Amino acid sequence: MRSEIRFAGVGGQGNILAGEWVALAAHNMGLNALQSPTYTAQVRGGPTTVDVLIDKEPLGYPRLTSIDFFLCLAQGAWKLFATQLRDDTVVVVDPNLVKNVGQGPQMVYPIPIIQITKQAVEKPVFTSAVSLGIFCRLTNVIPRDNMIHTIEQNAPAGTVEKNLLAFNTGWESVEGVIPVPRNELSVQNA
Amino acid sequence: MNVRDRVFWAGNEIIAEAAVRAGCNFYAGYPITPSSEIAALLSLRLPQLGGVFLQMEDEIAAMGAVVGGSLGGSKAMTATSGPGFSLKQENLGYAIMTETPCVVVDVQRGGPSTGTPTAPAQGDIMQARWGTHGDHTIIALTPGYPVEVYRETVRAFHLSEVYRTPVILLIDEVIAHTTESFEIPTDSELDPVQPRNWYQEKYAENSFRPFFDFYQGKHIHVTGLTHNKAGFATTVPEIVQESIEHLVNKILLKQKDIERNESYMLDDAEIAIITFGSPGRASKVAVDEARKEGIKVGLMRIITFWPFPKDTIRALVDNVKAVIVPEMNMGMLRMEVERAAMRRDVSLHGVNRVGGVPIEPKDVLEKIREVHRGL
Repeated sequence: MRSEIRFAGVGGQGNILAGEWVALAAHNMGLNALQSPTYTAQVRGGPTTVDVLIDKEPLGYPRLTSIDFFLCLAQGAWKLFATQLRDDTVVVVDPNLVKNVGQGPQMVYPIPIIQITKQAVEKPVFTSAVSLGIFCRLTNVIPRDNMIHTIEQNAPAGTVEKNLLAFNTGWESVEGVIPVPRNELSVQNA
Repeated sequence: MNVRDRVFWAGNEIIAEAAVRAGCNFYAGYPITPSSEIAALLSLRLPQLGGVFLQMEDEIAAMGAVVGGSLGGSKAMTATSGPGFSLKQENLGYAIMTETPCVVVDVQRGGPSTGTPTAPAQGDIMQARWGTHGDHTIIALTPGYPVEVYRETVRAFHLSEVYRTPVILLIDEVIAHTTESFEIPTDSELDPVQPRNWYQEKYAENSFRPFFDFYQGKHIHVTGLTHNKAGFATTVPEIVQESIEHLVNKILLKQKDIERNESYMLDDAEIAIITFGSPGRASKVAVDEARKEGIKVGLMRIITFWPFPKDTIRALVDNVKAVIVPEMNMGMLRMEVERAAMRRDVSLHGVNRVGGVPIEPKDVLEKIREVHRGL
């Protein structure tokens, strides 16, 4: 089964790293995986996104056309990368950073990702692992244990513990969050 | 290597690793997005293997160092992107004139000038062919899939040694920066990886000047001036004529040996898509979709871009009713297809994207439907 996943935000948030780890986890499960980042010439602060494509079959077009899971951490990135969404795409936004999600039939999970990262792990640099926890909980693409194993294998030395804490923080943060129809979220924030 | 290892590498990593596999032991370059990962990786790999990695003061010097490295007997390469490729053109011409084997990777980005450094484009195909001055031919390869990037990188080194010429590996940012699962080819699936003296024995006729490097105990003379068969400058018209004809014909007359394309569902096609690089992947998906709708469409994806597969394309165009050319430029391949077809009545359509986003399957599919309606 083909899965299409996109993490978007601004440079420096770790979105591309999150995508890399999802794709790597899938590759290590023996699936065909690819990840394709998009970023600007700015080192930090420019809109970035990473497309992840996973399939048992050989992969054709290396970008996304029908997204299953979309997580967005910046208004500017929403404007550029909230495309190729299906009616049933699972959408996650940080409501403190993405206030205008426009109109559409999707259900949106508003989770204050940056805020909970700072509270739990103190540094926003662990946002990527929080996003991975949310992704794993809301989809069935990568089993939790496989994701944890990939984090353990690839987190820079000395950061494994905090990355796992961040992953669990993301996993727990989904608890009790009720998705809001996209149209209503826009009205709330208008 | 006889067993396929399964890896998860980006295009730029593939090029660096395949270059090492091909025996590359000399790299000189100047970092430029979106090619920098090739330099970064080789700066680690080459010293481990006893090779040389040089970061030069600029793109021009880097190309000069590559020529020097190769003349010293190394298998030399560099990697760059459009703006750097422009700066390399004079020394690229020197490598062509002095028949110095080397591999130049150009990871194309949006241009002209600084353009869009992080966005994909395919606007350097004509620069690869005609960027340096004077009469010459060039070999340029345009792989589209990870395993092919690996294979064609190894082949680039092989062809550069066989034909004593720079070979350009032209990829786009989508390929360079997409990390993907694939299996590394085994030795039997790759072109030969041999030392230079192996080529010296087999392909001596491809070198107009004596086929020797420095430090082999021979007195040799290498010059960018037009030279005679001893390697010394000459203006004798007959010799100048012969030497330039040699530079052009040693590649053009071997077109069939060098040509490589992918053909997909062309046997009964009424519409042919002709493309290269990453738009080939979008096009293949579009062909599958259109076939489901009963449209007879097929795909030719060019892997050896220069010398241009003109005979293959002429035969293809004669057998279809319409041709669609998707490319991330304003119509450079389309112009070559038009020339190759040698007909004024070809129904020829472009899908051209230069906005920095890849061509999508739906872009090609919509064009297929539109062209099909008009048949």
